Amino acid sequence: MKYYFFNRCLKLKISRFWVSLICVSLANLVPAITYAETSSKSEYVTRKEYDQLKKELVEIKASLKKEEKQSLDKNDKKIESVPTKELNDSQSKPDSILNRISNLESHAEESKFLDSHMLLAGSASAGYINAENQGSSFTSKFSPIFLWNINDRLLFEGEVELELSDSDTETKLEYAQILYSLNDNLTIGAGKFLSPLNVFVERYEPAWINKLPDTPLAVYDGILPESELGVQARGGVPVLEDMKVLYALYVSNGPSLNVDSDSAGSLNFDNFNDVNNNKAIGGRIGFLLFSNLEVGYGLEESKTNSADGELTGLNAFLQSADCDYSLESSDISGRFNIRGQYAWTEVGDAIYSLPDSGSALEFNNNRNGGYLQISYRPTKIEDLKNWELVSRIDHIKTPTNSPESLDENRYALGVDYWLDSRTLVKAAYDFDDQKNNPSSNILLFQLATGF
Amino acid sequence: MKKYKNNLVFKPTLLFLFLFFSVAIKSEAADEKDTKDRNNAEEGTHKNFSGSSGIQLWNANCGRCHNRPAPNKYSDGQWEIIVHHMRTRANLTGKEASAIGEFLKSAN
Repeated sequence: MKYYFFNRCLKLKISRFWVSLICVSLANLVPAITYAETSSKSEYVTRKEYDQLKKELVEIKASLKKEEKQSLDKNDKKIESVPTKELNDSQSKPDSILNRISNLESHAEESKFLDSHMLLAGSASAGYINAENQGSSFTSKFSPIFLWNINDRLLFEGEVELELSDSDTETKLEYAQILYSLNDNLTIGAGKFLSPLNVFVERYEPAWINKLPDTPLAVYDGILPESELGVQARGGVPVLEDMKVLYALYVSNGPSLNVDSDSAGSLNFDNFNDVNNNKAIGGRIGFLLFSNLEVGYGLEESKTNSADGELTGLNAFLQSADCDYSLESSDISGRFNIRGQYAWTEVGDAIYSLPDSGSALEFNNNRNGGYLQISYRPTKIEDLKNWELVSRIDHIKTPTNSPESLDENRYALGVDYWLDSRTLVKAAYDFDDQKNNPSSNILLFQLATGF
Repeated sequence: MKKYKNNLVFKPTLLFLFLFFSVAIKSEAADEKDTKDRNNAEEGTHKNFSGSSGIQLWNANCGRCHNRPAPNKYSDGQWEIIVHHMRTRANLTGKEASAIGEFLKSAN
């Protein structure tokens, strides 16, 4: 029978291929048609199913209404039983929370403003000094620094120094100046500022930066000013790839001339009410080479008077040379530093009538002195990295016939232990050698911190 | 015929390879620059006009006189004040102070 169909096709000259094709097509189409029929049948429900669904929907709606009514009744009862005060409090709580958030936001804004505008820094120290022929004593000093960043260009800085001396507390305004950055290389300052001539006082004096418990000779003692009262212009100018020029120029009140029996001929740099119309002009130029070697030279010229007006118009010429070299390298297993300064002053000739003795003094009023300090800290050696060795040589020479005649050399050996980057314990011994006065070796300890 | 077929395959392939490698090389260069910039930003190595980065300037200038406190010792606002104060003391240029400040703020 099956061959009959094929044979008939053959007779009708229909190829086997097309026949097979038609059969396969029919075989695929039949399930599709069947599925379509099934799908079309499921789109409709019977009357009976419809009525059943409708009935269930009505029941669900009625049940929901009932539940809602019961829930509302319960809430009303709850509200009625709550005291009015508590009800009001619960309603006002969101408002109080919003108020608190608003206050906290205000406080945060104020703190942010203060954080970027005002800073209290400074240093403090406590020490012990035992000097031959002079006894021993504990010492203490506190130097707060107030910084107010007015804006990106304007800054106020001021430092007060509080030090115990004899039975008093000495209070001293170290500096207080307003600075204005005119451009990249020039800043103008006015007020009382640390003398650019005195590199030690300007950079190394704070107790946590000075590596020894005491200060060098000559950078104080009437040879170099610690501060100036006037105006200054300063800045830095890169001139070559590895060199920068640092400069500072100033005009200030200048020194007055001491004429008392103890210090006649020396310069008094605390000349806050200028004794004459003449102002001191000075400055310093430094060359910073390879970022770790700096050499500098400074000078100041003025006409000086005595406070009583007896001596006037004496020329005062100050000069200073300084250097600083630092090296930190694994070759030396740490950090090495050498720094020094030498100053010399020339004051015009004068005859000083000493009030106490009535005698008259005349001398060549030239003074000089300086220091050289070496330090080494083995920062690359784990067990020793907090220790630092320091050695300093000081020298000062004042006129032989002057009341404060000094010709002194001092050799200091010290060791520091760093508790952190800004707190250290210092121990030092000064070997003192004086030609005109009794020598006095000194043992010193100091605990110093910066903040 | 063979030559014709080869031209049809060889030249387009060559062109494709050329384009592919050109794009690849350009992307590599851009990535490297982005990586450097990103590293610079992360390390605060902002350049000043003489070529020294903020971290280099911090090492060179701030360590000459005293120990350098860690950047996280102070907040961003406090570093702004400190750097402004130190600019005068160390005779830094404005660009140097700015580069040091940006490094410290990025590293705290």
